Amino acid sequence: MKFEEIYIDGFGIFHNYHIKNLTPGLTIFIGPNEAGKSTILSFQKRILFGFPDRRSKSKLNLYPLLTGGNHGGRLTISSGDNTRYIIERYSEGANDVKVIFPDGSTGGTAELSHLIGHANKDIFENIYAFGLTELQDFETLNSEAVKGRIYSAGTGIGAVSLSEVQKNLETEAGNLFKKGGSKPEINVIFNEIKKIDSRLREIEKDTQNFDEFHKELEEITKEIGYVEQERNQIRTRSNHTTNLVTVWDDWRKIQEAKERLQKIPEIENFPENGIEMLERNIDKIDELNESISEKNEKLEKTKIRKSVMKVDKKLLSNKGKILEFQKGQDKYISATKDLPMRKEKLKRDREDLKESLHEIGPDWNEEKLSNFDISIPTKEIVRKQHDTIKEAKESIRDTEKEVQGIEQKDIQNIEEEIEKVNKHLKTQSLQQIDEKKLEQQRKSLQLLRIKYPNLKEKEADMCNLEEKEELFTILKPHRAEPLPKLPLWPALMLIAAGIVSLILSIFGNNWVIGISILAILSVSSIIYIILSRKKIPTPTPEGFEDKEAEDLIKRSKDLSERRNTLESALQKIKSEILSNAQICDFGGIPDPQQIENKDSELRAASENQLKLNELKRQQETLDQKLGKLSEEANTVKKKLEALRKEEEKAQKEWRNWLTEKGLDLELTPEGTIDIFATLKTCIEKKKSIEEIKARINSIQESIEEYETKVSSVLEDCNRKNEEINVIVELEKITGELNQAIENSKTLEQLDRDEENLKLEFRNLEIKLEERQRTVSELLSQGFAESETEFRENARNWEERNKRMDEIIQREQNIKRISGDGKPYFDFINELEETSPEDLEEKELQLKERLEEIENNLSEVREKRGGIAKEIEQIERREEGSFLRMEKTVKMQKLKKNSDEWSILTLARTIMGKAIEKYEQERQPGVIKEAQSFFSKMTLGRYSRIFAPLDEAKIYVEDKDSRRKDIQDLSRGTAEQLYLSLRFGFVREFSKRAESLPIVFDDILVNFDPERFRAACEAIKELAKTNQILYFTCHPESVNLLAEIIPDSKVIDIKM
Amino acid sequence: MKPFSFIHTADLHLDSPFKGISEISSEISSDLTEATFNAFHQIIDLCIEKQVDFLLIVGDVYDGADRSLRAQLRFRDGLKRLSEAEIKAYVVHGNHDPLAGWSANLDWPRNVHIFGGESVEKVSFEKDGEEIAQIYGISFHKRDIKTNLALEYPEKTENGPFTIGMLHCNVGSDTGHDPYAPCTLENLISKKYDYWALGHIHKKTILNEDNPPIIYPGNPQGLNPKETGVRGCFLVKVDQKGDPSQEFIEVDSIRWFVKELSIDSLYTEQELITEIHNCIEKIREEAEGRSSVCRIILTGRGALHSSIALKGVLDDILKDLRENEEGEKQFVWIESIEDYTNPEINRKSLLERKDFIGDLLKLFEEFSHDENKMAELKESLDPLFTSPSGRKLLESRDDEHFRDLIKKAETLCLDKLIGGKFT
Repeated sequence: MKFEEIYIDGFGIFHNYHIKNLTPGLTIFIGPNEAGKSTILSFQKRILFGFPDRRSKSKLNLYPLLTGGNHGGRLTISSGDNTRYIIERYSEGANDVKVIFPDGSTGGTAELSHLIGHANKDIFENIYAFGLTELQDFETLNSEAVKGRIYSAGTGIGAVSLSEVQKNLETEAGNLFKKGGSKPEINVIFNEIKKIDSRLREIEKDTQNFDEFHKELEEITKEIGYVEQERNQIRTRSNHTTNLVTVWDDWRKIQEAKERLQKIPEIENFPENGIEMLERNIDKIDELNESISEKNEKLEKTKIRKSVMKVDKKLLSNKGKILEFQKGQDKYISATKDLPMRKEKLKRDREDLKESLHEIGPDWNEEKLSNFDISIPTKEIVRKQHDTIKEAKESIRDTEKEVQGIEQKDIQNIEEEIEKVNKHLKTQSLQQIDEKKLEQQRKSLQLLRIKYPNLKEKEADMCNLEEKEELFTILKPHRAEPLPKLPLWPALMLIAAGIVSLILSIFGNNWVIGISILAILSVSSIIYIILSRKKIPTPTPEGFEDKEAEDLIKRSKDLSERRNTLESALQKIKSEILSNAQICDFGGIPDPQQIENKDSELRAASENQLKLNELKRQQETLDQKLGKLSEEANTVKKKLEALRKEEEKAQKEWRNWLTEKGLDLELTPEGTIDIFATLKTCIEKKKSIEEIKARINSIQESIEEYETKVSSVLEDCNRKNEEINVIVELEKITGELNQAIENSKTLEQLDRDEENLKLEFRNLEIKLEERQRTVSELLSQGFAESETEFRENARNWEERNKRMDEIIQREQNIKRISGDGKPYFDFINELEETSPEDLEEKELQLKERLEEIENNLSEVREKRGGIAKEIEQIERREEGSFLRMEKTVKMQKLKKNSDEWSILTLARTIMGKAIEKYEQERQPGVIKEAQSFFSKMTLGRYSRIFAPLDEAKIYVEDKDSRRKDIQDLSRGTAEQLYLSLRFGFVREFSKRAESLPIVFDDILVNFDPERFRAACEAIKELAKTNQILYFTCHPESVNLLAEIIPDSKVIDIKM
Repeated sequence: MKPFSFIHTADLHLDSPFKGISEISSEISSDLTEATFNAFHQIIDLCIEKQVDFLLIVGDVYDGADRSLRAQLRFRDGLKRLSEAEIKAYVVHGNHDPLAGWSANLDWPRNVHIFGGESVEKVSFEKDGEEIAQIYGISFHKRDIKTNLALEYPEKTENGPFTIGMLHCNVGSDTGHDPYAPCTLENLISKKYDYWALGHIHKKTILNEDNPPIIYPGNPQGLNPKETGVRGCFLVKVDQKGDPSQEFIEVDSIRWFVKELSIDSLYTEQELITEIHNCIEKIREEAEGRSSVCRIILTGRGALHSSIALKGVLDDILKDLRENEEGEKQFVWIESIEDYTNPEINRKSLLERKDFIGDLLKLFEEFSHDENKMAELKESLDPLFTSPSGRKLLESRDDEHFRDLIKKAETLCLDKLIGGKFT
């Protein structure tokens, strides 16, 4: 690698400073002190290896900006293959280097490192760029990097530093194990295993304890058994004492009861509830005495009441009859009220009847009424008479109406119509046409229509024939002219006629006929056309003239013949037409238009004719109708006459009937029928009057009967009979009867009460006796003479029993605790011999002891639980398994790590031996190179340099093979040795890696002229392989260098 | 005679920790500590399910040195379950649980017979009042029994019932196990027994298929990386003629695997991780529902070596793999990934170089072949191995292992010096 250009943007005193065209060999920079030589050298180093951190505390000169610009710049370099790169770096920002490739692409630190052959700052500073200071500073050589480089230079291992590898191996091994260390992995594992082992031992101890624990458990269980037994005994005693204390009260009460008993007099027996019974009986006796006196009083009262009571016996014997009268009383009252009302009604009805009869006729009475027949047949006769008369009258009325209708309406109408028709006829008859003539004209016209075309045809034929004849006469030999074509117009005419007739027929609403006519005419026209076309003869070829001539003659003859016949036919037609034309009032032969006009004329005429005929027919019909109607009118009139006669007859008959029945002659049948209704009413009224009469009679009878009966009974009962008001009397007697009945009933009741009272009285007396007997018995049972004594005895008896019961109760209380039989007596004996104070004290003592034992027991039990738990824990302990597992894992890891450590250590050891061997047997190239420079620079005084590989020491041998330590050399020689070594390094390094430019900073100042020259020679040689930048402030050095190295370039650094 | 059946197991090593695992999560740790118990319970379940007549346990029920009370209690609990199911259990003690060793003061269920250690003892097994089998056995009364116990067994009595010999011993000389109670196959066959139920060897071994069957059932739960593969016990059915037929039944709850993985064709770490993941899934399948512990050994030579040789790379991979397995019901715990890979270098050409590397490799050659030099080198490791803890806890380094370390040291040096950049 070589520097091509240096550009300083800003660095110390430099700003925008450009050094161009550096030579590949030696470039000498000359400048006085302070000119900036060192600045340029530093600039180069910093561009290549970076600016120092501003924050670092090193005393490095930072070369701050003195004249401006950006702190930094660039170096333009070329590599071995002359490719140019730009290395740019600024201290601002990230302090990152930028390598710009020829193609413009850029790179960073890695690319730069590659360009400078992986040299680092140390190598560059110590080997490539140095000044007198570095040269004189022996220690700089001891830098590890440099040393490594020195050795590796000849080892064939490229850029790797052996010492670094060695150190690396040592570090790695040290990370794994260090004697007496604690952090390296193996040491850690050792400690871990130690810990696991000690924990395992503890666990083992635990497991050994397992059996002991078992034994202890057994013992403690046995102990618990004993203590429990003792506790049970004491508990029994304690309970016993407690029992004694409990029953003490009972025991004392028994004693007291017994004492009391002795003081109470003894009685053999005493009735149970004696006092109660006595009291009850005494009460009863008092009660009974009271009841007896009460009954006596009641009896007396009853007797008094009986004596006062009286009863009417006769009244009682007539009880049934009186009660019956009471029942008939209402009927009697209503009858007496009803009678005058009915009588009044009878009177009214009679007057009413009389009035009604008068309505019928003045002479009408009840007798006449009863003789009159108002039966249905009679009514029917009247109704028939009425109907007959009515019918007759109606028929007369109808017939009269009919006669009037016929005369007034029908006949008048017909006469009007006849008048109208006659008027029509008068107008029509003015245009009356001869019908026959019209018919004739129509026929002739028809003929004319047919003949006219015929005539025209014949005339045309005639013309043709005449022309032909003329031709024949002129061109006799010539062939005959072709026959003229038949004209088409007749056919067209036919069709036109058809169409006309069709149109007409459509107007006449008869299109079927029209179509048929059109069809017929069309067919005729077609036939005509076909026939006419066939008549065209074929022309004769010209080659046969003779034969033709003959034909022509023959033809002309034919023609004349045909002409004659045609003429005659024409004549005939013409005459025919003329005759017909005459009939049709034409002057000559009419043309078709005339014919058509005539035809429409005729048609109108015939239509008028038809209308006329119709009117005439109507006139005739009306006349007939008129005749018929006049006839009818006459017949009806006759009938009317007959009806009137009939009516008269009926009236006559009716009057006869009325006379017969004695009714007013003026009566109409309808009036008669009304009288019938009145008659009927009258008859009914008469009947009702009779009924009322009968009813009044029966009422009067019943009143009389009731009154008779009542008075007979009153008499019987000795009641007053003078002025009798049946109802009042009856009411009075009824009241008295009821009182009598009531009194007799009360009397009966009093008898019964008296009987009962007597009976009750006797019963009470018996009961009283019984009670008195009972009381005396009770007293004797209670061994008492008197009631007082009895009561005394009862009190004693009760007291005694109470005490006895108490004793039994308390004894039972004691037995419940002590038990029956012997235990009871033992218990009693014990009670007799002790006192409650003793007992209580004893109880307290026992309880205390019990508590003590219980405490002891729970303690021991707890202990047993603890042991059991311990055993269980030991049984459950899995830690051992895990620890053993952990230990084997650690052991494996230890094995692995120890292998690794062994490998590292073996590698280091063997490599060390290899280095030793190498330094003995193969001196590094760098030393060899340095040796040659050294020998030259010392002008052959020293011949060999000796540098141990793993030592930072260098020895030299002089030409007499005397080894000298560096300290033994003069300053100048030592400098020359270092310079030689550096030259050697440069050479060796350049062989294996990218050669870098060398920068010297006035390194030769301490050399004497001879050695200076020799050193210049050495530089010259070095310049062959490396670019050299030589900085100096000594012009003489420049001169000498320039003299010895002629193609060198001098650059004067000027401020 | 009446047909009957029994289960033959040995070397339960209840509560013995798993060995050779350098890293473990707490969750997995509890699974591992339960593993031996689970296997034992499986056996008890099997006895009950198959309705066998008795269970033979031939030594090393637990590790006496561990003094695990838990092991003994759980053992007793299992036997109680058998007792409740009216199944007898015959137990001999082995070198790990000799009679003289520590054992807790426990009451054994009545159906259990523990053979004494004084002399060979005979027990009759009766079924419905008929003696259908005679069982001979002897327990280790102490750990170090180096005498041939087989010789003390009597020959089968003439016309005697089905005869079983229970013996915790080392048959043959080259078993890789401690030579406790050594004997020969001939010793056993000569007794004319009908079945030899052996214990001590952890790998299932059928020494004699038939006439009589002589069988090591192996331990029912593998406990270290050497004890890979299926583990279980033998179900033996004896028919009416007295002919036994045996069937191996797996009971292990966690299975060990050691898988080698070559980096020859791997170029990136991601490829390696994928390869390991595949390996894990394969193991999960092989383990048939069990959890497993696996050691992965990386071998081969290739570009990947230099990246995995960097410190921490494999550790990171391992950490990720383990995190994936946390919480898995059927986990595959990668116990470690051992790196036996080599850089992609031509060692021979390096050896010929005249520079430092050439010198270095020559030195390594010398040290791994010259025993004197090796001894000299061993001294460099003394600071660790002769330290008090080191002396106690570190195993002595055999030469093979040491050579292995030298080899790894050489690889390390090359990695450091030339980083696999030069060939």
